[in-house]
Amino acid sequence: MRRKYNFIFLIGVLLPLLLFVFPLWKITLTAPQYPDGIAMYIWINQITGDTESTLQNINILNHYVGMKNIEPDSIPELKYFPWVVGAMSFLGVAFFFLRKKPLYLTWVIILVVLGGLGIYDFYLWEYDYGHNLDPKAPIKVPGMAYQPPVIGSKMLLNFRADSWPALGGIFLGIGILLAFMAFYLEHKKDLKALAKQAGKAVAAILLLAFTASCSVEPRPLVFGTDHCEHCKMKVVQPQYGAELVTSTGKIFTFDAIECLIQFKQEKEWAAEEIAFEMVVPFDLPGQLRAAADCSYIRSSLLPSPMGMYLTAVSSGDKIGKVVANYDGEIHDWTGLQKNINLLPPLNAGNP
Amino acid sequence: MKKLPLINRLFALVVLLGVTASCNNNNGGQQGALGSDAASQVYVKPGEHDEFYAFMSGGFSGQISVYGLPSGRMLRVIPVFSQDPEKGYGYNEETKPMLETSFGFVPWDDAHHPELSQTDGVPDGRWIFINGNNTPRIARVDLTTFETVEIIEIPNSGGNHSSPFTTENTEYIVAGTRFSVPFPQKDVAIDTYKENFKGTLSFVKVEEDGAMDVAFQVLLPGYDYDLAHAGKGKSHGWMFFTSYNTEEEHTLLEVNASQRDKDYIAAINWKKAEEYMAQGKFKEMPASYMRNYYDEKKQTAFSEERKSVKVLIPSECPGLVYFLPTPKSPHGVDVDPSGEYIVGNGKLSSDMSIHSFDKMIKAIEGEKFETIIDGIPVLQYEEVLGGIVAQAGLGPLHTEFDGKGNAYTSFFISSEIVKWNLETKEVLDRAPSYYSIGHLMIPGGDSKKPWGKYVVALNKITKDRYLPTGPELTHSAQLYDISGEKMKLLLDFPTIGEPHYAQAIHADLVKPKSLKYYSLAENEHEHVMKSPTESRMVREGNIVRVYMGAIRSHFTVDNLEGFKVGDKVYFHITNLEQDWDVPHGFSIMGANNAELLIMPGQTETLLWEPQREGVYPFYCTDFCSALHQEMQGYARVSARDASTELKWSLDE
Repeated sequence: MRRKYNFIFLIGVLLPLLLFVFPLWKITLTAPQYPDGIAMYIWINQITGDTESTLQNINILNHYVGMKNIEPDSIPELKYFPWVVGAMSFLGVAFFFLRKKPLYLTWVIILVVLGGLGIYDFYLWEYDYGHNLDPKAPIKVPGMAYQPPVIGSKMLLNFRADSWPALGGIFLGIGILLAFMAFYLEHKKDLKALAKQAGKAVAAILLLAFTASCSVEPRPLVFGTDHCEHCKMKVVQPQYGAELVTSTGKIFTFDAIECLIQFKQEKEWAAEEIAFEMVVPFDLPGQLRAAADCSYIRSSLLPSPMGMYLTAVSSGDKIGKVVANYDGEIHDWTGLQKNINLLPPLNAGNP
Repeated sequence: MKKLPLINRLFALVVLLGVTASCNNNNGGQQGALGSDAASQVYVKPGEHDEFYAFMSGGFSGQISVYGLPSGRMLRVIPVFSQDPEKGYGYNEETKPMLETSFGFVPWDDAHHPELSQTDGVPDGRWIFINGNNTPRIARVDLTTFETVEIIEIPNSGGNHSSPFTTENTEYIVAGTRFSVPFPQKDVAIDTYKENFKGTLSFVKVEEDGAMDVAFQVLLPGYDYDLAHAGKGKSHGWMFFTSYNTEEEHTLLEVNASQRDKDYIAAINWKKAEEYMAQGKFKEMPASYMRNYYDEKKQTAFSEERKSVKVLIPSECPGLVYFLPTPKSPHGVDVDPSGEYIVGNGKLSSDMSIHSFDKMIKAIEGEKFETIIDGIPVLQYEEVLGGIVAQAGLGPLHTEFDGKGNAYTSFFISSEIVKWNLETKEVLDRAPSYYSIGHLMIPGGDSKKPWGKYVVALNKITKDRYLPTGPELTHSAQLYDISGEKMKLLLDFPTIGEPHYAQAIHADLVKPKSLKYYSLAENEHEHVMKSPTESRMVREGNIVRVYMGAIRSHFTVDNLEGFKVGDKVYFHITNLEQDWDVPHGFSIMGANNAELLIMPGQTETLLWEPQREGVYPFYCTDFCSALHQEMQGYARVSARDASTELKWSLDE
């Protein structure tokens, strides 16, 4: 009997490997003009459609409402998910050979937690695609967001979006169930004690995993929606703005460069606590560049949102052009931060 | 008799009702209340598909139109021999070469007989061929794209009417000259017809990939060769051509060519011809004719001139040709599904002569010759005759078959279809046509396995059948149900041009192969651009090439400057979409040709020769999306000697 349960566990831990063969999730869009629907498959390492051009077609449809292009290369999850899945199956096989029964439950709990996180992550991506819309989109429907459901059906304008686990996702679920079943059948009697042990193991492993895998990235500013962390005003001018990302992944947005610098000074953070400092260069409206890579100009002809006449320019080549046009003093990022409180005031029309 | 209790009688009634209801269901409307309703038989519910594709010749429109049967709904017009501004065919640079001939660009023809390619004597849905009657040509249409992909000119021909009938496996399609002409062409007095004029019957080889080549011509007396059909089954290897004007007259033919009791069906043993060809018994004659083909990868048509043709002369090739005497000026020659009966539709005769293939072979073996003309034995009429359908009607033209032992013949003068039994030659039914039927068509009705469900009458005269539209009326087709013993008229439907002949095929043989869009990755057009970043303008002297993409809902560059009066501007436009049914159009003000209509993944080129300084808009003509109306741009034209540089931009 024991043998049998062991093998149920083994099958359970191996089933997630089918995610390399079958997609995890499927989102289908149907509309009257698309009688067969457009199906998009989310794999652990790629995003595909029922034809080679499906993604292009979805992107074309999405651009009307200002959604970003779905570009699998820009989704980091697709790079490390295969490792996570591989590691889980490997861990499961290791547990199988260790023959320590509480570990079976440990494996199940880790996978359930990871799965839950994965679904939350999926939700965040969907939220970003559905809400983070280009303000220049040709079609704007007030109050409308285009976030597809994580699971289930939803109408998005003329499209019905259906989102359901695909074959790989179903195998993953079956794998979890089988592994749990193996544990449960084996330990009907001494469940409580084992659960405690398993819980401890989960906590240890998850802590390890978290510290290793948390990703910290800046995100684009959403003009008209984001607020300045320092002056509490809305971020609206696409030629100004800044963003700070802490090493724990917390993101702060600003409507002006001066706000970012002053916010930093108040917080008195150590250098290693800050992962990214980004500013919007004047010549690349709406885009973020590393603050240290930009040059800065103070010109009375260029009033910045918080009145310091401080403007970023993306590169050394461009700065000459801007100086020629607007005339002003040039700073670099380090000098600017050091001297910001010493800078003389400027008034428009009175250089 | 004892009375049944009430409950039992009720039960019996319920059972009876149930049986009746289920009978009606099983018969699918053939019987019962719905069965008598012709409308329900041609009604294809919205969103559902027809059972057959019908390809109707456009006659003098030079095109093929595609209809669904039984609904009679028109699905598409395929441009073949005529320029079509709607699709840019024959106007854009890619398809102009398709209409090249040895006479130069001929943008029209008279298209008569669509002919589906066959495998083992059955339509296979690969291609459909059609003849150009006026400037002798044969076109091949690909049935995955429904586009014309090849047109070959026929040399030494004066009107390609008996064409393009196919052999059992599309080894050859044929082309026989309707008008004999001087051979080779030369300047002679027309009244020297009898000595100088000859007829040629051409065999066009069709390769596995569809490529056509005039393999050989058979030189025959100067008759008018009218129609043809290949043998099948046991008569595979033979091709039969009708002829009229065996009088060899050259003026007032309606009288002078109707004098003899019998004209001939020429039976050509093309397997024998292949032997003679292999033995080198042909004469290589100088000629000039064009072969135009569409290179699928390059998405462009190319023309090549052919300069000679191989000719077989019957007097030097015994056993190649026999004449079967047939009354009287026979029009169609149709071979039944078994290959035994060769039906000569003697249009001026009151009887129809049905030749027997077995008897023909016996007559040849027994040398039952009436006479010999130019080395061609004329077989004795009685020795080849398989039977006569007596007094069936007036003016028989064409016969098709239902595969159940019956033949259906169209009678032009008495304006009717007559159904008769192939074995007994007995007339079984007749149905009037409105009016003056020419060809008739049963899906697969000239093949070994007809789908004997419907016959379509292709009528020449319309008169009062529809709402009048001034002096010029549509030509009418009519659909009859032939699944029962009696023919039943179901539907009239109008057609394009003159639906001379038509062929139909079960939708299952074509529908699954229908292409949805061209692969951009496989597009090897000389001027393709595959990404918006490749958008550009290039000047070479006074030639300016614009490389532009179209994708919902913009052209990848929309402000073009630097054109000059006198330039030749080539707009090379690639539709960057890769989705079904997202064509983009392109048109520019003052262009002296037409629009482009570009399918997804396709590149097409429009030539524009700006004449006046100014700024001229261009736009997408095919309603592609919600922002189609915004899909536009401007082209700036400067003076001939201006120094305006080429400049292209989008969203700057």
